[in-house]
Amino acid sequence: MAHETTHSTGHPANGHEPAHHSISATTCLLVFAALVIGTVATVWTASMDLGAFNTPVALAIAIGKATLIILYFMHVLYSKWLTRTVVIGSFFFLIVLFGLTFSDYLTREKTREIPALYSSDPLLKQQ
Amino acid sequence: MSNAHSPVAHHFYTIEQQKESATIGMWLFLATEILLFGALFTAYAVYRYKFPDAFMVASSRMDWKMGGLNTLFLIISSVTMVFAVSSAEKGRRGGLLGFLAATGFFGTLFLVVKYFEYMHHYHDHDVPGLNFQWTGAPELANGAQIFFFLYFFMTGLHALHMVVGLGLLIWIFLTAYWGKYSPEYYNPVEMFGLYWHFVDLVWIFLFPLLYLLGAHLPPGGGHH
Repeated sequence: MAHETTHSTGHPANGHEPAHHSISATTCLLVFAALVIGTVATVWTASMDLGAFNTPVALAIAIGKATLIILYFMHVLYSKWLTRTVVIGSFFFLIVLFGLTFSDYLTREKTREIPALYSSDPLLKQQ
Repeated sequence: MSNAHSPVAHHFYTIEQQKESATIGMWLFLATEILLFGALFTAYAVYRYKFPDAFMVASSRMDWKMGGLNTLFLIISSVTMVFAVSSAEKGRRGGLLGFLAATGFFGTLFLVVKYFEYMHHYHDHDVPGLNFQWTGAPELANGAQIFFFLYFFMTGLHALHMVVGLGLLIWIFLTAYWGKYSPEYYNPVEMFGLYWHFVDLVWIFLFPLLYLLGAHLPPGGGHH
């Protein structure tokens, strides 16, 4: 019977099944505490004038909270590498989206010698 | 061979393979969602780069207490969702139903707070295309309008995801009530959990980027 053979060997590509899939209640509550502390830290740091560092600090806390949610709540810590590849790939393409966009916008000031971009002709001029 | 009552669909060999396929499929969907919101975050970044002061002053018109409260509601609902999935895994139908109801309760609270926020913005003439009126410095008006456009687009799309999530939650609750899930088969519960956590994830970035830019300004910094 096909049922018996497949069941005994499991999935051939992934021999090791995780012992239990869901996280324990203690882990869950620890992550919850970390997320609440992160939220308080976000509000607290935003109330201070850190100059150019306000947004990097806020983003660092947000990325930390997001990582906790992805790893523990969304089980990526316990998932197969095929699933992890999809997760990593989606954020890779997000970085490509940001990277290519800002390789344009952050370098526009340095391209004044291109006349069409900064012409006084309103048809040619672009911001 | 699978019979008609087996939780394993006929095109899968084992229940593990079925679960793995569902997980990968769900994450591929979430990848498209990450890029959908990612495009909006990119637009936000570009216009904030162009209008840094206007974004800061316009953001100080946000009520960060409402946003912070909603952040807590979503985090709590994510935690109850984790407990719902682990109840399903252990075959505890009562726990599953209870935690799903709690998740729906906090999700609904989020939308209620969001409704009052939107009403408040409407009365403050903050809605571009409807009644936008900028009473601050005139040179910041254009950037402020773009900030509010992005605010309504991003939080609106996020709120739409919450509404869809609550609809799915009702379906999951009903099927759980009818006893469709077992420790062997609770894929829909777990996949819905991934969706729900993702919606929480988006809000974790929306909150500081939309509500807290002007939090260090003196009180009333953007009101005149």
